[in-house]
Amino acid sequence: MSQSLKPYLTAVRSSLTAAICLEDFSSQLVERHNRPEIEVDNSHNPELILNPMVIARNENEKVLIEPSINSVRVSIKIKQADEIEQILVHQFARFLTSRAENFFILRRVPIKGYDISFLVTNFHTEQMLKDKLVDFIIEFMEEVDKEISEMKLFLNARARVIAEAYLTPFD
Amino acid sequence: MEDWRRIDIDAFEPDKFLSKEELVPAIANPVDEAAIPSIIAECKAKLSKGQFAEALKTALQNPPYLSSPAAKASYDQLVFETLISVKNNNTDILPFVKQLSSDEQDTLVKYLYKIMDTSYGSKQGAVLLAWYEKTVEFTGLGPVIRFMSDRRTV
Amino acid sequence: MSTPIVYQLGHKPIKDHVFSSDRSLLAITKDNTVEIYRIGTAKPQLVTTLKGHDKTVTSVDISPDNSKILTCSQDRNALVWEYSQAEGEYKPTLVLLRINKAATCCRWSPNGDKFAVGSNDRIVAICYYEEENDWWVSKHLRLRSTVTSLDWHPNNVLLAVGSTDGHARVFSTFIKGLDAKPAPSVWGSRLPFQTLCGDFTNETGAWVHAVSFNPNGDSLAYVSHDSSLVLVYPEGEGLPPKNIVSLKTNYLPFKSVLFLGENSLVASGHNCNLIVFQGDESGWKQTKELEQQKDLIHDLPPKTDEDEEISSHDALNMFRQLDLKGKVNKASDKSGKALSTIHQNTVTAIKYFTKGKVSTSGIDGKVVIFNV
Repeated sequence: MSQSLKPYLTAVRSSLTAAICLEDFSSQLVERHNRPEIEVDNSHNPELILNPMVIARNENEKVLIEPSINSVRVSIKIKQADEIEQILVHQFARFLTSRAENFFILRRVPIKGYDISFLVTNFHTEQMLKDKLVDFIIEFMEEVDKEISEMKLFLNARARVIAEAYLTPFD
Repeated sequence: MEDWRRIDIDAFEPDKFLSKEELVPAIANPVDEAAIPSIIAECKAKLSKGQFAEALKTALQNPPYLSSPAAKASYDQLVFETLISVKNNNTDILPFVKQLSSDEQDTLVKYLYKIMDTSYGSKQGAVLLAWYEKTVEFTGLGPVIRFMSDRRTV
Repeated sequence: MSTPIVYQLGHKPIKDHVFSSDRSLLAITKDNTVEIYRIGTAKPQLVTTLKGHDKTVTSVDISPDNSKILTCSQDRNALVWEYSQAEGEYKPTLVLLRINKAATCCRWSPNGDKFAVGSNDRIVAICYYEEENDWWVSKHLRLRSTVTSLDWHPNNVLLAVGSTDGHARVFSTFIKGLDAKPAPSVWGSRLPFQTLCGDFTNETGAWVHAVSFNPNGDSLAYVSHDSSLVLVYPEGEGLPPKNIVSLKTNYLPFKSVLFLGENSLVASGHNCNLIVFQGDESGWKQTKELEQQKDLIHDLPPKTDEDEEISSHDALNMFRQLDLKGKVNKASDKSGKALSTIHQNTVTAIKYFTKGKVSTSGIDGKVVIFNV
């Protein structure tokens, strides 16, 4: 793990641990409904929303954690150094979000300005252990960087092979 | 004709929900907005004299909870400069964290989160994260939870 | 110190639990029902399941004489269950709560002649039995935010109410014809219905999760989402409080608080551990943690070897294998690391059990009896 990655992930871990303190909370507005308060427009009822947290490693890598009484939204901006990485991140995020039901906590649409979003509700924390959920998000963040650079290497290697194959002179 | 379908009927509810302002608890001795420039000057003077611990304490003692966004932004800048300066001139920042009172540590974490959200702060992510790591390692999760749940925002 | 007694009652979250006063019966909430167990033998025996609500049951309480069980639910209703000898089962009576949103908590008064139900509708319904109509009717206390917790003063009239606007309030619930005029106390002397006898908040305005009167009823403790514990000592009617002791802790927020005596109390919640505090009017401090606890942030257990370390990035591995090999190797089922405390998830309630013992219930489906 690189030197600056560790404090970043530690900060995300403690922020998540603090944010995922959820309870079963039925809507104050709609009868007999139980909905994630963070996803509802609560502009006229700020009581159930807590202060959002941003953890930034640099301008291109940050995490936004938006806590509320019964749900937390976690959005991740993945490092994108060049255009190839941008395309890869975009495709990767799309690949995951289109299979969101396999991930339970993945949100189908990321929050604006971020590449991928998770929505953790009290029903998730009731079924799964909280530190596992936190671990999942942290490890996802660790892996995704590795994954993207791996894919980039694959892509470049493949491009080289193809270029060589095409440009081999006839003999 | 008035578009009655778009009327926000909740606004007409006689006992409507509490607003953001109503949720903020009473603050014992709020900072006078006019006093902010002098606090900033005092803090910068201490920094230039190399009194880092005193400067940090001055900056975190009484944050302007009730001031205008502009005044708050200038105060954010001050805290940011103080943190950078302390970090650049000292190898170990842990002693600085330790000498703060528990309220000041809470305030420090509040500012760390806030500054990380600004454009100038995210460029210095490494420094801020170092502060964050040292502080939370020393204090535990309390300040993080209080940043989240505190209705008095910096 | 003997080891705590652990009852693992399924894996569904237990939002609230209560023992009958002779400690022979245990009632717990489970989804839309309440389950009643007989305690005493090695393993709790399921006696019956109370089915009557059609949404999550949020709270359960047994009346002081053990004759009635009170339940309330997110379906906006509260039910009073009485055992019918003729039919050999519990029969529900609906309470006229007149609320439109979920009921969040309910508590019998110390005399058992009335009870309070808190709700998301920003109302506390004080319910009592009306002889001539043969049903439970209610009077409303109005607030401006969701009620999270209730606690009765020993005099059967005063009620402490915690809410999500960060306030803990003390109201009078005096009902003419039912209550005897209460003796004057630090909370006031003339107490018509809905008198606000005290209104306190915490430093940050964070949600109040639990309120509790001390055993003699002269002070009030409450815990909030900013991980703080506050104790208020009122001076008397119309006067500012003698002292307000506010303790900031570095644990995750507490969800429940209980006095063990006049000078000690225990709190627990998202930290999954029980913390004991001691003190008096001049100040309180933490005296012990009931269980050894690992720090969630710093003491991560050492990673095991790669084959076993699949628990949390299973999904990613699964896709990678699909991508590279076109098939999935089923990951071995390993529960992995767990918390070092008995409760593996948020503790929802602490109740008095017997002298020196408290019982707790948790989201992890456990009811535990601890020695404190």
